[in-house]
Amino acid sequence: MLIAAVMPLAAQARNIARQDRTRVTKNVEINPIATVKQEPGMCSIFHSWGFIGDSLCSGGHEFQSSNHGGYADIYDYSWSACMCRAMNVKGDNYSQGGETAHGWIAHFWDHPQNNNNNIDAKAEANQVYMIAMGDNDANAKVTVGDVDKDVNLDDYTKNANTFAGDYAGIIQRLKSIQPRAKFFVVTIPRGDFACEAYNEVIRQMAKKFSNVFLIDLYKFAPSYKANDTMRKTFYVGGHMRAAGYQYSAWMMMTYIDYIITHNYQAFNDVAFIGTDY
Amino acid sequence: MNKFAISLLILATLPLAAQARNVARQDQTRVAAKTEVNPIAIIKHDPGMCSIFHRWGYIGDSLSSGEHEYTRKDGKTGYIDLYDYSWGQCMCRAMGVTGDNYSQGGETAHGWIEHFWNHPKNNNNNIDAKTDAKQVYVMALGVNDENMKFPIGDVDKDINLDDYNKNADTFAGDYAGIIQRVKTIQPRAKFFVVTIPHEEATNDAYNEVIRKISNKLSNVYLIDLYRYAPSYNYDTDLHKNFFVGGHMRAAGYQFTAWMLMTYIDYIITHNYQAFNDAAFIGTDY
Repeated sequence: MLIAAVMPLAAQARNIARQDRTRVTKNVEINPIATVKQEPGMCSIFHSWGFIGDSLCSGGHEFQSSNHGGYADIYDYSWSACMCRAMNVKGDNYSQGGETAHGWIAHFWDHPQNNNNNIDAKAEANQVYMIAMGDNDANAKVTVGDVDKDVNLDDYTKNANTFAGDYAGIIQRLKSIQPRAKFFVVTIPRGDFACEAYNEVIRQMAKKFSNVFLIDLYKFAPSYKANDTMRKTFYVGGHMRAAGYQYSAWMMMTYIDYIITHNYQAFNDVAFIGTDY
Repeated sequence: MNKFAISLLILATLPLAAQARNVARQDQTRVAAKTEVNPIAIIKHDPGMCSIFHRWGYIGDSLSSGEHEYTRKDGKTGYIDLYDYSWGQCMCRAMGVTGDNYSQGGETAHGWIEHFWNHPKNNNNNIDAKTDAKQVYVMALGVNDENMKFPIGDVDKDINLDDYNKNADTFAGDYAGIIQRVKTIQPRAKFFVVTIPHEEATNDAYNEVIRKISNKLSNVYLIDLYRYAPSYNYDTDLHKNFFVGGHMRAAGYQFTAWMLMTYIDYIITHNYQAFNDAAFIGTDY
């Protein structure tokens, strides 16, 4: 009876001893935002932030008043502004509703004219940039392009006029004013329209350029589809409300903190960005 | 069940019964008689009760000044105090309050009195510690005194409580002298004094001075990094993640800020009565 009682234990012990790996997952993928923290963590090592994007980067709100409706970029409620408040640092929104990668180059670089008081991205370089674009390119079915063929690493003005060429062109332009800047590029979250090809371009940016790090919301964030919780909780129409932008800020900060804390060496020079040291 | 089987069962369960009896007797010879609490066993990222102080002063050396090492054009190593990256300024940003760095690379206790008090001339725009009294000061000095083997001195003999000018010129006398001087401009100020963190070569005798001063002078509280922080030795994860050469990078100073805030929060939350007057510091109330 005793032997019968301990047999399962013995079998398990033998199993462990043999390290039978057929019973465990070989490859465990970690979700950097499995638990979303509400503090900036190591994001705080950066003191000057630039945010490049569209309405969802600009605190875009839909509204309907008694005599008219529309869309308003309320920058103070953007997730970027939420991040800066949490870190108590400075940040600039190079973003506006409806923006595309191609449009950004005209409206924030070549001939600054935009909803954020015509801010000029060339005027004051930041230490770190976040790029959250692609929604409007996907909606408008802008040509996706090819990261290997459409990007001229020596002269960005010769990039192809595709999502790939223009997105890379944004990074290249900013690097021309801040060579050591860090970039966090954000994929389009899962929603109700096809965007995977555009996200593949964004993912490849992190491989093609130095100092570019990927925030893969498509892969790791909750779904933003019409009947899913994120949408029901945080959206009115096609845009978020204040709480949604706040939650987005927490997700971004958690993700960036994860990247930094798993790549300390890559961020050793942060204090020198923008200096002669 | 036959007798043989019963005997086997009893035999098998004897060790379990013995252990259960042990626990039931609360045999304290098998557990630590005294459990020491590490205030920074879990490092939080928020300031907690540090936020009751609104004006901070940071007294220290390069490691208080956000000092970074870099490669100069001639290939040699350069050192630059980047105060905005110091743990003190990280703390201030976390709290949303103001703070001043009375610190610079290479500073010693003796040197501080000269460079920040008597004849202010220092890397931080020659800031004068006498001019804008703070509610609270964090002192993190000693590394350079230790490196230069400055005489350690004796806390009981080297400090003249009536006249700091008569303190002996030792680490003990000068360290206490800093506190005594600052108290003349802010009598109710609180001080948090920080021991030199652990490395293999750290001479804990300098830390003993710091520990004793926290017992000798009023409103002085000890942050014993040597005892409770991870080791800063070159072969540790902390060193590999946060140091380049002998100084930290931005992430390291940020981590240090979290450690110090966690520790100070611990001190305050375990001594609320001692901090009841925080709002009155620097006022006539």
